[in-house]
Amino acid sequence: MFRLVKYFIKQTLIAFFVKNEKYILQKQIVKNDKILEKIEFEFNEEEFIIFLKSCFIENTQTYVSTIIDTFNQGVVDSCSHSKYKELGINLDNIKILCLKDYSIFIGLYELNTFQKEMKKFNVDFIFSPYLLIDIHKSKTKNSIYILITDSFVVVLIYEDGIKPKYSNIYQFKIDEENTLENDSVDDTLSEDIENIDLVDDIEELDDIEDLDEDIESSLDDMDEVNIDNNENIDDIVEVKNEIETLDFIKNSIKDYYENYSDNFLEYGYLFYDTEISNKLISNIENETFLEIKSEKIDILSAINELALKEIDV
Amino acid sequence: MKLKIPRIPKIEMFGIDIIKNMLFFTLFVVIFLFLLAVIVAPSIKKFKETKKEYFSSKIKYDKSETELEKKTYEYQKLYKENKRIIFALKREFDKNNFKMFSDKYMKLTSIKDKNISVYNKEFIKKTYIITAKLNTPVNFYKFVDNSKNYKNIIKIYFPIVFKAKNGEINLLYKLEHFKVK
Amino acid sequence: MYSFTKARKKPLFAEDTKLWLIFIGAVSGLMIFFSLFLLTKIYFYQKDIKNFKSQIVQNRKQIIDFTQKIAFIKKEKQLVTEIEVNNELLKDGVKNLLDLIPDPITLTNIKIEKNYLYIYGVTPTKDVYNVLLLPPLKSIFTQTKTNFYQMDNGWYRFESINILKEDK
Repeated sequence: MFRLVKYFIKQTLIAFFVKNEKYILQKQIVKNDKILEKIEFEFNEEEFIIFLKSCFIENTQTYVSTIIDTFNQGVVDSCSHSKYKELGINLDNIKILCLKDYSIFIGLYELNTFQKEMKKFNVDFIFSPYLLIDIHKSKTKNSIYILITDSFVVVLIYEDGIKPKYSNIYQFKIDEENTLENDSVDDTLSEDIENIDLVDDIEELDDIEDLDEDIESSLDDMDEVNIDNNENIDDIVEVKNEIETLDFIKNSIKDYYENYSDNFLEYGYLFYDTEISNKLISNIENETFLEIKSEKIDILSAINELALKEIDV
Repeated sequence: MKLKIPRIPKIEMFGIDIIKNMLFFTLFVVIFLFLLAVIVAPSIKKFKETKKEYFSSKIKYDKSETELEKKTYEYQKLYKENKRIIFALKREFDKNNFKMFSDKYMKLTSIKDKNISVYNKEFIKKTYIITAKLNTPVNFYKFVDNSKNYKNIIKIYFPIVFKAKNGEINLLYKLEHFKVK
Repeated sequence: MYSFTKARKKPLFAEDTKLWLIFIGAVSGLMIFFSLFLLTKIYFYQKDIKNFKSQIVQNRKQIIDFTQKIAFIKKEKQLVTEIEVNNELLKDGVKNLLDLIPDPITLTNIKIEKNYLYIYGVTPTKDVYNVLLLPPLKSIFTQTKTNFYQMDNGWYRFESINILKEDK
């Protein structure tokens, strides 16, 4: 009966995420599983709440969805509790979402905290970023999927062609002190990055760790210097992120080979919703010895897609 | 072929959607007046009519009831008053019984059936010729006087013959007995 | 299910819509209820009217019945009264007649009919009869005829025929 009713009713789907204390959102008007309207906004918190109120008044069937990017979430290739015990994951502190072949777990504390924070927005659905990859995936035999956004990086590895085997999340830390930068720092960093280009061997990637230390020490020295050029700040942050991303990917793969599987990865996919440099892609390719197919995805559309699926259930 | 409904502008004043509420108000008025005209008004009319009819009918009924009561009372009174006559007019004429009654005043010698006829459409008249012997006509007078106490309704009529014989009077008279059909 | 959390309840209608619908529904309901109430009253009234009408018909029949019975009783009463009066009159008549006979005269036979009277008797002298008995007879009856028959002992046997003609 509800299916019939839903045929006549318009639904409003709002997907949002937080970026630098600003709320980026996409509002879709859906009727009978067809998207009638799609529009994006960027608000601060007050504006967002007012906007949501007006949406609710306009249409009572309004669903608000977002993603939770806590690192305390992962994927297990089975729904059974015994597998969790096997992996040493404490069942008392987590919530498990069973998705037929595999399950996603998340820390209860992080979920509840996030839910409380999101309460003022009347959030209906909270999705795991792993699902974003799951929606866009293609080959699932010995494939590694990487999702890069402004706030986090997600790694999801499929082995047997059905369900994911390994998952990992990395949140970019926002450093307050880093807002004060210097021209010279820029120069130093770009120099160092050029150095990275010349590295061919995997072994020499170990240098990145050293590089990390170098950058950090240089940055510490720059406390007194003021720069007006904001673009430089962004570039610095971007470069820092890229380095951290590479590091994270490398560690994830290492972890996978050591603890999860003996099979070599054959395919690599990169999803991104922010600007990433070709250098990063080639760096990752060099790191992983895989051809990385990259694709820009619209996270907000993906979230709304998930939300639509939720409503239909 | 899908109809394109033009988007109705949403005017908000004092926090209330004016258009929507006006439309609802109009809907309310329409429904209210419709129900009033189609359902409520006819019901009230029919109710008033029926009520009037009821009360007029009730008056007629009450009148009829009192009339019946009166008539019943009248009948019962009349019946009670005339009970003796009513029962007397139902009784058959018993010759032996009459002889016993008559013997108080005279010696009955014969009762002859003379005639049976219908009297006044609703009564049967049986005529008898009675002969009796008595000593003095006074007994005859007494007999006639007490005939109204007899259990039948009897009429004494002509011819009446007194014949003196051997110191006695032979009496002959006609007796008519009346009974309901 | 993909989401960690379940969606909040989404009402089908906005609050003010619900309010209006409830309001309109309530008023409509009241009106319909009122009409139904009236209709039931009408039904019961009509039932009563039917009862009244049938009862009136019944009563009418009974009244006619009683009226007939009353008339009949009255008729019976009239009959009996007539008879009693007749008997009384008859007795008085006979008594008066017999009282008319003076002492000297002795009757042997007397036949009283409705319109005539036969007297057979014995009288010492004609005069006694003519003076004492004849005048009253003459006054009562329209026609009187007397026949005398002499007896051995000097008395007269008489035969009196008296006729009363009615003027109709």
